[in-house]
Amino acid sequence: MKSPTLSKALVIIFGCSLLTTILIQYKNVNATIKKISKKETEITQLLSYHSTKIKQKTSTSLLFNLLEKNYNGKIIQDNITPNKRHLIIQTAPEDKPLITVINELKKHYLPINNIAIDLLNQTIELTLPIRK
Amino acid sequence: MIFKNKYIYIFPNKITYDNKTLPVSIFELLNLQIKSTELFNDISNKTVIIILENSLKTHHESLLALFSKKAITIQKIMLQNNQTLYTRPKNYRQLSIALTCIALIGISISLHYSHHKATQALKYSSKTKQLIQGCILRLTNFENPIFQSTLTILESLNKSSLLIEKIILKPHHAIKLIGYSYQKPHYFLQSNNALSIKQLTQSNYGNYYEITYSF
Repeated sequence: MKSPTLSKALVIIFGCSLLTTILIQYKNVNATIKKISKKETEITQLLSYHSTKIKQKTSTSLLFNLLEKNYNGKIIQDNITPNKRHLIIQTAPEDKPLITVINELKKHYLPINNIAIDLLNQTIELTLPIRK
Repeated sequence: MIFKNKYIYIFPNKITYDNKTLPVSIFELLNLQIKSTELFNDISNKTVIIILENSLKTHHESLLALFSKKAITIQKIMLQNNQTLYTRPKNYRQLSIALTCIALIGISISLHYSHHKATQALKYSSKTKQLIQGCILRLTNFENPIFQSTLTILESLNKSSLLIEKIILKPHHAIKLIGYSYQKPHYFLQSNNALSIKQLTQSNYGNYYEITYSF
């Protein structure tokens, strides 16, 4: 036969063990949530970086800036039709041959219909699709 | 009622409980401990309802004191004519302990489930991070294949005497090189089946050629 003191002790032990378990579980959940939060921040930063990188790689203006800066490029013809944009860029590279422009262009994601590099006249002819 | 109470019938010269009769008078019960040992052993740690014979009404307080001394809870003391002499005040301690335990177990289960879900979410987050890192790496090292192919062709042409004048790139279709050479670059044609060479002029002092690489 259990005495009342033993019953009380059992209830207290059971309650305490239950509370300890809950505290440990709460601590674990909290730690995991913190980890998730950290991961989410990292993912957001990476996505932002990825998005910036894609914008850089697909930006027409950035490509023109690069041609202007590195090859003294100037747009001498710019025809825009509903579907495409036709450009002729006159270059005058001072210290490097125009052929090296391929090395610059290969890093770009820019959608190009046609590209013609005239090494004799130092021009770059580009036909770009127009995004609607 | 969660727990069943034990009924004790007390008469002036006997005590009845659980179909058992003890030949102990009320005076012996109250005054002689030896006589009541069997009774208290049988009902120890239980809740009891005492039913007194009507003539023993005046003894109910003594009985209450005696049972309390033996740590036996008296739920009710009543007379045979159903008159209630004592009712134990309601105590919700056990119920509240039980409810608290159930609530704690519920919280524990909920936390376990949350932890499981959070761990899964963490795994997915790690996978997503790896995926994005892979995308960034590919994007950083990206080299447009048409320009890469052009560079390869140009490197091969370094050995030839072809002077390239124009490079025309049509993505997904062809790469065209127009150049001037004193000799037809046949050896170059042999090295790659996807290449074709077209002579554009007819002269004894060198001609223009169009080299086409078709995809």
